[in-house]
Parts: sequence; structure tokens; C-alpha cells
Amino acid sequence: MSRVRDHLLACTALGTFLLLCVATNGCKKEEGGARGKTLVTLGAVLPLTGEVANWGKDSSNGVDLAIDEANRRSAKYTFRVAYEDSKGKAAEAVGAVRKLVDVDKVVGIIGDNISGPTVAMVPVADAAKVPVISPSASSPKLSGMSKYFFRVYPSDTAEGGFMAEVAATKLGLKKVAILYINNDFGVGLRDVFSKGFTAKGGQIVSAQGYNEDQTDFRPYLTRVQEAGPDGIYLAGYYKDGGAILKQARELGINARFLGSTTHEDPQLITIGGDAADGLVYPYSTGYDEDSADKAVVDFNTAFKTKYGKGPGLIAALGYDCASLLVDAIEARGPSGETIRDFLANTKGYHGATGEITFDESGDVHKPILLKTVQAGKFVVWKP
Amino acid sequence: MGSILVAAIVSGSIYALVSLGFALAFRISSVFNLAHGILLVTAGYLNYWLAVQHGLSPWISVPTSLALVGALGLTIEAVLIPAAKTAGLKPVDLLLLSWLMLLIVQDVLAIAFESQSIYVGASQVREGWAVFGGRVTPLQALIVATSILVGAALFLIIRRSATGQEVLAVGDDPRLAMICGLNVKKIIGLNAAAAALLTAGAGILMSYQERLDPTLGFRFSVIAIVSTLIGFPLGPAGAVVGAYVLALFETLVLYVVDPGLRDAAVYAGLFLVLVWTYRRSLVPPEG
Repeated sequence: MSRVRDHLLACTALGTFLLLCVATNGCKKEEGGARGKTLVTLGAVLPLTGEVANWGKDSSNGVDLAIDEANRRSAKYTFRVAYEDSKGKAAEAVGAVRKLVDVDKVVGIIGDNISGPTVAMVPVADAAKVPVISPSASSPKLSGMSKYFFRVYPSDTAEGGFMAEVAATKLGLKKVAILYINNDFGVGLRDVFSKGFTAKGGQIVSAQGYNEDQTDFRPYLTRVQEAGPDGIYLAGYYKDGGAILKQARELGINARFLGSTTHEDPQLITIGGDAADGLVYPYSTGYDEDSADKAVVDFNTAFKTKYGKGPGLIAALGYDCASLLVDAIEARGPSGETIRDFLANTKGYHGATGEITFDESGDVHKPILLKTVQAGKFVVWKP
Repeated sequence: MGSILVAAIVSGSIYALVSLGFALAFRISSVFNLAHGILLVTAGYLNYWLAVQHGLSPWISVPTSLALVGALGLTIEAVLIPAAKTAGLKPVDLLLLSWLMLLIVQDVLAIAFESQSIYVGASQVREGWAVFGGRVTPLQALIVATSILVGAALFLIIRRSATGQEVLAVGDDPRLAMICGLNVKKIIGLNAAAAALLTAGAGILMSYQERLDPTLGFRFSVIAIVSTLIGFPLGPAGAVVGAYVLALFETLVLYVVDPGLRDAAVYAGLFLVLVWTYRRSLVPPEG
């Protein structure tokens, strides 16, 4: 009998505890922010761990800065961000969005940095009518995928097409091999580049896709070497890019290497060493840290004050995402539909990454700069 | 063809060090320790943490990593496994427990290093030397030389030295070895430390050659098991032969069939070896 009583007591205690948790969580939402302001929760699904954790952390730094500024300035709202780690994986991103929508009741979501998780999570947010704004996902699949999806980073159709033009005309390459990562980003870039390059009379002599966890690229490089290309286009990220450049040099491959904006990260140099020198890649973000534009100058100053270091591209993109959501809420209120309408009508917004205008597909169009790696530094390319 | 040969020899050398470590430990414990591969990964990550994140010279980071992972291996093989056996756990139980240990350590490394792969490479990259139509870098040559020298030294120690004979004796029958006056615990400890050092050394060498990932441990445990089984009829040095055979098979699959089939090649090797050893035990020898 005492065992039954103990069992009942334990169940009652557990049940009460769970009830308290739910009630407290609900109350927190209804209480409001500081000094009678309405508390608004935004969500962020970013790769805070995993192979592109640098991007996730940089974006979150930019987001946090924007939220701090908004909270100092806003008379009506207190903003907070609920972060979820996508780990750079689609399944994690989907779970994260469900939790943000169902539990945290977010009114807008920032994320993901990379295309695979973003493609997976957009339909979930769309069904819940929650706007998503991505700092750097670039797959062409995302264009027009949902009327609730926007991005402050151009689609690969811009970058891939641009590099095809550069390869064929500026660099005079005739035969190019492609090494691409097997995900939405890599496949998208491969397709856009191939189409553009062959339209200019070039030949794609080899296209090798590798898995995300690949570390030894020698079998791929040997096949590419046998195809005899004069250029090799890398459609992947900085870690695999660095490894490919290093191993290609070791194998004696002398082709011209072309890359993507995603290769601009210090880890490319750490892994690739001096083999990274000479890589030519597009910088298609519109971000210019030396710009005299007030929005850029103010952002750079505020970032350095808060973090003691320069921001970089990814932090600036995260900042713009958060700032746009905050401005939408200030202008139209904290509802998914009104935020979406504000974003859809955004024209000529001056952000930390330059001028932002969303087209009917939720995409932005920004000027593209050609850059290269020279003596371990990322510099503007002068042919 | 030259590229395939060079790639097989380099991979085989890493596999040989890991497999030799496993075979030494297996000789005494008779346990398929799936946690063996975590010694390789842990050594690589520890060396990275000391050399890259704390800026220590390799003359300090490498011996420190070897010593710490050696102690971990000794704890697993000389303390935990014997204690589990004394407690009455069966080989299947030990296999499962070792797999759980692998998962735990893997997750700890993933949390500690934010699920990122690591690399301890040099900033200067040079074209490899042309060898048999392939290319070999100085680091790869060092890996091959280390594997050959260590393998040869170990073979001589096992076959020609008193300590080596004691290890074989304890492996054959620990109770009889004890009755004959051998210090069984000390021999098990020495053997476990040697096994761990071999595998840790492979991990450290790999971290200078390419990126290491927390989840690589299981793959290298399987490589060690497959290599040991292939070379089992040849005695302790058989794991080395098995390692090169497996590496050649894997390299042929990567270069001739598809470069994305690395894991599939290793697991196919495991499947074939298990079928082969199963058939050998079912079909009695003639006569």
C-alpha cells in the first residue's frame, strides 16, 4: 500500500512540476517586456556547431547587435531571439523550426546560413505563416519557394552565371572540371555554371560530386586530372575547398582554380596553406567594409565596440536580417502576415551589406566583385 | 595505376598501425573492442588542441597526446575489460559496451569541439615526389616509413624477446602463465599501452595529413577488426598484411568504381571477411 502511495505521490509531483513549467512559459509570453513594452520573440535557426559553425556564430553576433540596438531604441517592443542549432543539417533545421513556431511562438525566423537546411525548413515555416529571412542561403531552389521566404544574399544563379562568364572570357578557359559538394548548394552552382560555361562555347570535361564528410579528395582529383582541364571550379565550402587545393597541389595539378563566395574564410588558408593562393572567386554580397555609407559605418563601429573585432560579411548579413525583421515589426506590428508584407515591399533599404530590394521571389540582386587569394589574404582580383 | 598503388600504400600504413594496435590488444583480451578507434580520433583531437589552440610545439604536443591516449587505452584494455570479464560479462556484452563507449567518447569530442573536423597541417604545401607514376608527399613517406619500422620492430620484439614471448603466453592461457610465475597484470598493462600508442600514433599522423572528424572512430575500429581477421592465420604480424590488403581493396573501389564509396568499401570488406571466417569454421580441413 505504501508503494502505491509513493508512486501516486511521485506522479503528482511530476505532474505539478510539468504544469508549472507550461504555465510559467505561457505567462512569460503574456507578461510583456521591460516597462510595459510588448515582448516579441524572433527565432534564429543557425549552424552554431558543425562544419560551418563559424558562419552560425558570426551571424548570431550580427543578430545580437541588431537586437541590442532595437531594444535601446524601441518605445513599444522588447525583442528577444530564441536560438536553435541546425548543425548544418536539414533534419535538425526542420525540428528547430517546429519548436520555434509551436513552443516559442516566434513571429519571424532568421536562418539558415546554408541552403540544405533552409530548403527543408521553409515549407514548415510557410505552413505556419511565419516569415523566414536567410543571411546566406543561396540555392536557386529557394527563389519563389514561399511567399514567406526572403534572403539578403543573392541566388547562385547570379554567382554561378558570373563565374561561367569569367571563366570563358576573362580567363579564357576552354575545358573546366567541376568538383561540387553533394547538396542543394553544390548541385545548384554546378548546374548554373555548367549551363553558362557551355553556352559560351566551353566544355565541362568532368563533374565530380563529393559527400559533405569527405576529407580525402585524391580519388576525385585523380579522375579530374585525367580529364585534362585547364580550370577547376569548386562548388563547395571553405573546409573542403582548402583540402582540395592542398591535395591538388600535392598531386601536381596545375589548373586554374575558381571558387565561390563561400571560400572566403580564414580556415581556407589554414587548411589549404599557400596552395590557396591564386584561387579566383566572386564576392557577390554587396558588403564593402570600407564603404562610406552611413549604415555600413555605423554598423562597423557598433560591432567593434560590442565585440572588439571587425564584423566580416556573415555578421553583417545576420545584422541585416534581424534589422529588417525589427523594422517590419516596428512599422506594421508583430504578426507574420504584416511582417511578410513589409518585407515584400522593401525597396532600397540601406543595410550593413549595401542596398536591399526584394524582388517577387524574395531574392536580392547585388553587385559582384572578383577576388583572389594572394599571400594568404583575400584581395580584389586585378588580372 | 601509380596513383592507386601510392594511395593504397599510404592508407595501408595508417591502417597497419591501427590494426597492429588492435591485434596486440585482441591477442590478450579476445574482445572485439569497438571503442578501439576512439584512441585514434582522441589522439588527433588532443594534438590539435595542444598544438593549434594552445600553440605548443609538436615536440610537446605529440608526446603529451601519446601519453594521455596511451593511459586511456591502458585503462580500457587493462582495467575495464578484465574487470568486466571478472564480473561475468560475455563477449557479446563486451562488444555492446565497447560500442556504447565509442558513442559516448565520440559525443564528448563533438561537444568539446562543436562537431567540427580538425586539421593540424603546415602552411607550406609542396608538390609530392613522383613515385611509380603517383605522388608522395614527405608526410606520406614518413607515415609509410613509421608503419614499416614500427611493424618490423614489434614483430622482432614479439618473436625474439622474452617480453614478446610472455605476451604470447598470456594471450594463449593467462591462468597457466600465472602459474608459471609470469606477472600477468604487468604484461597485460604493457601490451595495452603498446596497443594504444600504436593507434594514437596513427591518429596524430592522420591529423597532419587530412581533417579528422569525431565520428571516424567506428570506421577505424571496423578497419582494425577486418585487417586482424584477414591476417589472423599469419600470427601477430598478420594484421599488417590484412591492413594493406584492405587498403588495396578500398583504393581500387575508390579509384575504379566511385570515389564516394569509401565507407561502403570498408563495410563490404567486413562482410566478406566475416563470411570467409564463418565458412572456414564450418568446413573442417580435409584429412
